[in-house]
Amino acid sequence: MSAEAAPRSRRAELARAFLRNPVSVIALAWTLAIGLAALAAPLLSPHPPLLTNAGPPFLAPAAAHPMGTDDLGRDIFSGVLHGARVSLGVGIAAALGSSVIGLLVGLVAGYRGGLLDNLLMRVTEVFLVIPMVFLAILFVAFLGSSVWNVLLVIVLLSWPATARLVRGQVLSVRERDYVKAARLVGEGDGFIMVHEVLPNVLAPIVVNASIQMAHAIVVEAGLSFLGLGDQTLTSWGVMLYRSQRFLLQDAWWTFVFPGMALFLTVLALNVIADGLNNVINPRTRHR
Amino acid sequence: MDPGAAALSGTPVGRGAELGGFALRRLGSAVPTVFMVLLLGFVATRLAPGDPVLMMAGDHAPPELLAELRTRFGLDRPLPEQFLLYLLGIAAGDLGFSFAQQQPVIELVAERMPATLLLIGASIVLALVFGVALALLAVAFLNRVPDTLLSALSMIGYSVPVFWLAQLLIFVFAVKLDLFPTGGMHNFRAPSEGIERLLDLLHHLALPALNLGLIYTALIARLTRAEMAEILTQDHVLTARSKGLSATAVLFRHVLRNALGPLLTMTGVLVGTLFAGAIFTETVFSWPGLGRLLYDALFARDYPVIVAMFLLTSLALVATNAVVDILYSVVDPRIRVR
Repeated sequence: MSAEAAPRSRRAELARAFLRNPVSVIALAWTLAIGLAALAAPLLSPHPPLLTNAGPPFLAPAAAHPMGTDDLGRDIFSGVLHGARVSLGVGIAAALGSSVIGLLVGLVAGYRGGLLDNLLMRVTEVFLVIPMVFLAILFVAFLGSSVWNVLLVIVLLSWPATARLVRGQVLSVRERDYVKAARLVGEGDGFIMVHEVLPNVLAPIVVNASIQMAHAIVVEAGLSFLGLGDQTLTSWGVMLYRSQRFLLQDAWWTFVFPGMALFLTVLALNVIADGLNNVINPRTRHR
Repeated sequence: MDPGAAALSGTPVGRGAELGGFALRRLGSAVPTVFMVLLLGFVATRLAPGDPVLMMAGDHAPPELLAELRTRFGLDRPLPEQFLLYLLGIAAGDLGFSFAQQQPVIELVAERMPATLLLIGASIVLALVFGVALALLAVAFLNRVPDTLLSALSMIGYSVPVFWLAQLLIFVFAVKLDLFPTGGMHNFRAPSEGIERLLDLLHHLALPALNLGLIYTALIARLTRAEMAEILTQDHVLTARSKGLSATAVLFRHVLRNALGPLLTMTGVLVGTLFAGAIFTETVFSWPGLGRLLYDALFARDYPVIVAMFLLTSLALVATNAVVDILYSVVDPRIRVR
């Protein structure tokens, strides 16, 4: 067996084990469906999401407006579809950004130790104690609430957790025999990191990315709900923020549909993370 | 005497000194975090839009007055010196002045603090009672239907955005069924006294506490179940079982008791998440606490209040975590050695 084939067949085996769980499959299908809805939102939407008077105000769900309309007659179905773009966009970008930065810093800190490692641990301790929402609120309130600022602050606040995770993995991998062997053969640090350490830390990174994506989506929606969202875009959080003023009226559709989309997407991502984790560490499932 | 020997000798003096040493070290480890929080607060205060001196003196104030004010508040000094003045101010309880509410921030915070503590306290009690009960139930049926069901429920519970759950609760229980008030802390239209006032308060507290408490019930249940499942595999549990102890006795005497320490740590960490959640719960339910104060400050762009809220909650969380660790070391002295 070649050295290349082993990880690939292991990956296929993990994928099969993951797909054997029907709940994971449903969660994956929902996430893909939301992804498609996000991509095709301009085609699928009956109206532009910000168009006022697309219908009469506060219209209950009906054939022309399957999720009803809000106080200004905006079509909620179109808003929910376009909201998927903001939520998934922020979620994917944040998870990618924090994974890449966290991976780089964590690899170097774990492998090399020293000042960088110390600094990393001090920084992550701050973030462990103070919930991201507080720092995010402070940041966005001062620098303005464009979706780019929201994304920037989420990445800025979430990469240290990834780095800490990677660092821990690297520390445990570093002392294994195959890494020692590679060093003995005279391989350089860079080569060892990329070829020996990296493949072993990828699995936890993927689980972590899924959780961070869910978290980023909730934080973006939460900031929007506090009025700190990008008001030029239609996101699920902004829709919930707007519906807040009409909560005491009977217009349940103004908050039920955007909130349902948000909740199910976050739930699906958490379920995927859980399913992946069970496949990667089968031990934890039966404990 | 080294700490190990003190622990072995077990004399009250040795133990006390050892605990004191651990407490000091633990508090010392919080210093960098506290410093970073204060530095962030200082930077944010200086970055805030609007010149504070102009705000005080008005736009048409003569330049001499502005210069004098700058000197008086130390704004003409070098930045490190300003930072020091800032720290001294905070130590003296000066959190700035809210121009939107025309009141010192510290007074606003003092007014709102009790409502938030009440809400968070009620939510913690709710989450601990139900979370631990559900975890015990799950572990009693480990890997069987009730366990799977509870895992699914707790996954749902901590995936629900707290603000959306709040909206649903208000809509169903306050608007549709009219069982609870839609918000606020007291009924101002029918002021009451004594026991009736207390009942009125509880009536208003029920939905917000349920909102915040449910999500933390899910988290506590999930984490406690994992902890207990781990304990179930330990030798002392096997021994107890083989001695013929009943399943219930094992669960309460061995599993629950050993899960209490980790549960304490968990609760400490979750307090931070609870504070964050309270911003949303208080916003939706118009609960007159710190979260609602922050929401109103964000709306009015009342920067001194925003910075003060960040400072206070961060410092409170750092302190809570340190206290929890120290308490834990009283319960379980082993961790002091680490």
